[in-house]
Amino acid sequence: MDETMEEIPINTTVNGRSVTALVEARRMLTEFLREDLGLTGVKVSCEVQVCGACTVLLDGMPVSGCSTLAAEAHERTITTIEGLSRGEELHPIQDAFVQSSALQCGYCTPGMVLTVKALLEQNPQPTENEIRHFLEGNICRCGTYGFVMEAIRSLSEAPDGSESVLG
Amino acid sequence: MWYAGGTELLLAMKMGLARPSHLIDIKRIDDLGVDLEVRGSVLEVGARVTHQRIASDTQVRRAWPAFANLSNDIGNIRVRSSGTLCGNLAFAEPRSDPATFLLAAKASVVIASKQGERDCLLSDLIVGPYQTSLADDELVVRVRIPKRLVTGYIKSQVSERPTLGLALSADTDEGLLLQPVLAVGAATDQPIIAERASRALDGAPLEPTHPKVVEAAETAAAEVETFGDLTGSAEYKSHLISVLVPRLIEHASRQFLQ
Repeated sequence: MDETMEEIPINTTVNGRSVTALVEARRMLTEFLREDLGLTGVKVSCEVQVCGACTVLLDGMPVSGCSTLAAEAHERTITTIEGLSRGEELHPIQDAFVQSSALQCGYCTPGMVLTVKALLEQNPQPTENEIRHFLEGNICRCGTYGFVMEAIRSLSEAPDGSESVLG
Repeated sequence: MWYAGGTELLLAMKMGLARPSHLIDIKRIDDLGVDLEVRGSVLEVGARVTHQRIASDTQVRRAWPAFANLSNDIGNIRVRSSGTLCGNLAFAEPRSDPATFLLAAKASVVIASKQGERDCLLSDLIVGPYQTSLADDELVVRVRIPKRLVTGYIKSQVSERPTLGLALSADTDEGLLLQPVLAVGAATDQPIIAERASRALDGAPLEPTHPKVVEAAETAAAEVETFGDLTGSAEYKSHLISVLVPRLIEHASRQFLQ
C-alpha cells in the first residue's frame, strides 16, 4: 500500500568506520543505526526528542536520533555509545559512570554518556550549573542524577588539572 | 518543504500532521543562511544559524544578552544543536520563546522565493497557531533584530514547552522606560503584544514594586485572553502573567545595570 519511497545513497562515518548505504528518505537515524548497522546501544524511548535516550553525536554535537533523518548522516560523522570503548577497555566517561554507580537499568545511560562527552569536549571544567543545564534534556527514570553529577565531577576535576580525561 | 534542523517539522511529520511530498535540506545549498552578523545596530541571523550558535556568539551575548540567554534555554541541548531560529519562526509554534521575544523587539524577516526577496515584520509573518503568511515556495532566509537598551525574557516552564513566556523591549529616558513593548507567549494561540500593558509601562522605572509596574501587571493579566492547556488553565496563566510582569522588570533591570 505504500507509495514508492525514494532511496537516498549515503556515505557516512560511524564510530570511525566508513559506511555506504541506501536509505529510504523517511528512515530515521535510530532505525538506520539500530536495524541496518546493528548498533542497538542507541535506545528508543519517547520518540519526540524530549527524553535523550536516543542521543547520538553528529559531527560531535548531540542530536536526537529519533527525530533526525538517516539521510542527514551523509558526509557527516556519527558516534554512538559503541564507539567509545576500545574492545574491553572502557572510555574514561564510561569508567567514571561505573565507579560512581551512575547507572541502574542503563536505558538512559548511552544518551547520558554521549551528552557528557559532548559537554566535556566543549567545556572541560564545567560549573555545576553548566553541567545541569547541558544535561537537562536527558531524563532518567531510575533517578541516577546525583550519581551522574558525581561521575562528571570526577572527570572534570583531574587531580593536577592538566590531564585530559577524554582519551 | 524547506527544512534545516527539522526539530519540530519531523515531529509533526511523525504524527501525520505534516505530509510534505519532498523535503529540501537548505544545509546542502552552498553557504545559504550561514551568516550571523551585526550590521549597524541590527543583528542579522541567517537561515542555518542554530540556537546554540546564537547562544554562544560573543557579539550576541554582549549586545543582545536577553536574546542570547533565551536561545540558550530553548528546548534542550539537542534541539539547540540542530534547530534554527528561522525555522523556529517559520514553524510558528504558539509557545516559541524567540518568537515572543522578537515580537516585542519588532524584528523583521527576509523572505526569499523565485521572485526575489521581500521584507516582512515578524508580526505579519506569524498569523496564527502554526500558521504563517508564507507562500508554499517561500523561505525565511534571515531575521533582522534591532537593538534596544532594555530587553528581557522570562518564562515559566515545567514540561517540554513553556507554560508562559514574557518579553520586554524598550529604550530608556533618564532611567524610565521609553516606548516599552510587552509581549506574551504560550498564553494564547500565538505570541501577542499586550498593548495596554505596554502603554502602562511607559515612563515606569525598572522597579518591580513601583505602582506603574504593578498596574501594568494587572492590566496585562486582564487584557490577554488566555487559553488553558495541559500546563495550566486559562485562569492560572492569567495569574502567572500578573506575577511574572514585575519579575520581568526586575530581570531586565539587572541586565541593564550590568
